[in-house]
Amino acid sequence: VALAIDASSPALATAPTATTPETATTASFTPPASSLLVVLISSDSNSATVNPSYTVTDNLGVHLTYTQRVFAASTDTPAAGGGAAIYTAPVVTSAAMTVSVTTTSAGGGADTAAQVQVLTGGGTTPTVGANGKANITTSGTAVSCSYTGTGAGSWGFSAVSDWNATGTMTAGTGCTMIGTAGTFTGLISYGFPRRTSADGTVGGTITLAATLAAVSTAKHIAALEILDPGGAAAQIPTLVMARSI
Amino acid sequence: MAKGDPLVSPYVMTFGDYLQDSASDVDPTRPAHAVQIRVSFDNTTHVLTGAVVWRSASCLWHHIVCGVGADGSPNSSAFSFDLTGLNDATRNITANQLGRPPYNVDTIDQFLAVQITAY
Repeated sequence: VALAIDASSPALATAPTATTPETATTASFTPPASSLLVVLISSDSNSATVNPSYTVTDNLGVHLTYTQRVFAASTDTPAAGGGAAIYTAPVVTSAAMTVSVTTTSAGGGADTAAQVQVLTGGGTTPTVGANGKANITTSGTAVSCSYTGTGAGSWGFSAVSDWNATGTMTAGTGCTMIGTAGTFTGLISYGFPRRTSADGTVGGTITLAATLAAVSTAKHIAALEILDPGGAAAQIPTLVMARSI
Repeated sequence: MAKGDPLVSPYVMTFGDYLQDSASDVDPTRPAHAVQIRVSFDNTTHVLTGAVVWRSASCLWHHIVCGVGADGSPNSSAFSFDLTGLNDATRNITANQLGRPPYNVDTIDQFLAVQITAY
C-alpha cells in the first residue's frame, strides 16, 4: 500500500481559553513534496444556534490552498453546540511550515483543537474520496458516522467534538485515537479517531467512532476518506471486444 | 460534567505521534508514542498545586509547549516543558517552579490562556 501517514505529521494543537476568536498553531513541521495535509478540526461554539467558522492558513510566503471537505455544523439537524470539520491542502514543494486554525463563534466560546496529518502516496499526491458527518443529540457515550468507501486501501480520518465536555475520549472499534486532546472539563472535549489501518474498500461501509468519558447530548463527528493513489478505485466497466479468425 | 460547569483538577492533555495505535497500548492513560501533561490545581481558588509531565520512550515528541514565540511559532516559545531524557518516565514540576520563569503561571486560568501543543 502506497498510502501512508508521514512521520512529519505534527502534534495536536489546542487553544482552550473559551474566548473568540481562538487560534491553534502547530509546531513547525516539514511535509514532503507531493503529500496531502489533512487538517482535522474540533471546536466549541457559543450555542446550538451559532455556527463556528474556521480559517485555515500557514506561515509560508505563498500559502497552500486549504479546501473544506466536510463540516458538521452546530445548526445541522439535529442542532447541537460545537462543530467538527476537515480541510485538505496539497503540498507541491517541501518546506518547513506551521498550520494555524482560527475559530470564530459569535458571542464567545471558540475553543479549538487542530490535528494535522501528512499523507503520502508513494510520490503521488493522495486525493480525497467520500465523507460523512453526524450531529448526535441522543443521550449516550457513542459517537460515530459512516461513509461508503470509494477506493481500495483508502484511509479514514475524523474529528469529534463533545459540547457537554465530558472528558477524554477513546477510540471506537477499528479506530485509533490520534492526538487525544485530554480533558477540557467545563469547556469542550475533543477527539480525533482515524481508522487504525488503511482498510477502505470500494463499496464498503467505513465507520469512524469514538466513545466519550460520560453521557453527552451534544456531539459532532466529521469523517473523510483519503484515497491511495496506487489503489483500485471504483471500477468503470470496460468494453472487451473479441473476435475469432 | 456539563457545559459551563467549573474546571475540575487535574487538567490532562496527551499528544500522540503518527505511530500512535490505541490497540497496542498497555495503559490507555499513558499510551505509547505519546507525551502527556497533568496539571493539578485547587478546584475553588484555581491556584496551581503542581504538574507532572510524562513521555513514552517511543514517542517522537520531546517538548510540550505553551503559547507561541515572537515569530508566531510554538517552537520558539519560552513557555516549554523539556521532556528530553524521559523514557516511560515522569517528571514533577512544583507550583513554585510554575510560578517562576519561564512559566510564570500561578493559576489554571493563566495556564489555559495560551495554546498548547508538542514537538
